[in-house]
Amino acid sequence: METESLEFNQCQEAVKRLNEYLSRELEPKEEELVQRHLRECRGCFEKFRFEETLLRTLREKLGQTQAPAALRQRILGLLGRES
Amino acid sequence: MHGLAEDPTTRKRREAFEAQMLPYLDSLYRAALSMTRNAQDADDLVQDTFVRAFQYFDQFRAGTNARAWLFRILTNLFINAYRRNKREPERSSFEELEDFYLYNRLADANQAAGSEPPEQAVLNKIQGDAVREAIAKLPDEYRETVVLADLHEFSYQEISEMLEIPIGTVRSRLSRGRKLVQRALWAFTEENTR
Repeated sequence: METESLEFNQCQEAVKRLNEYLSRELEPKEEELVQRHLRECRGCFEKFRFEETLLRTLREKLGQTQAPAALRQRILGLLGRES
Repeated sequence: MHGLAEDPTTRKRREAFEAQMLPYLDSLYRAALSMTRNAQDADDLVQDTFVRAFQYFDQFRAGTNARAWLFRILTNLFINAYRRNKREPERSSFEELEDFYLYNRLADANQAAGSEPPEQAVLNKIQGDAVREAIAKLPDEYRETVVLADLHEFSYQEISEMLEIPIGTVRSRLSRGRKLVQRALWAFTEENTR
């Protein structure tokens, strides 16, 4: 475990896993390794946190749009007719 | 509205469909808008998706993921009917894109101004228009992947099935797509703060 941590304790290794970390696609063990590095390295911690915040911001900015009422009505009408 | 001729079985089927599928209308519309980049096409795409889903509703297994099922239909229709280049070869660009592009630009800018931490600055500066434009600018194949992964939070496995591409391709498109979004966001922010 000790060697694993030392080998892993490199910013480069963490950054390689950034995208999957953000998508929550890492295996639990790998995720733990990344998180451990983030606890130890302030630079990576800030960058990773920034990326997470950014993705959340993108979702929030575009998450408000609703389908137009006319579209909803049209779909309901079509479903009735298609029956 | 639904016609006088609708028999009880038909009505039951329609009502079950509406109850299970209509809650995803807004979410599908947002995805369609991001993918097609215009309201008229988004309307048509969503309408076609629901009509198609209703036709195949008997194949939908109750209790499975209705949202993923609908998104798969929408994505399929988009690729086949709306996307300009259906199966174009992967645009191979060898240009390396920087990791943490936006973070680095904002850190530079803030250092120069001696002000807030970058995280706060990005939240303050990024507007809905900038996000829409940054995503709209992505080439189709990157846009689909970014929309499905980052805006709708589907797993790589689900995206791989929806787009019928290997998981490795999902991974590489997302990686590049995210970087392109950051570059576009920075360009937009720069343009609009001058």
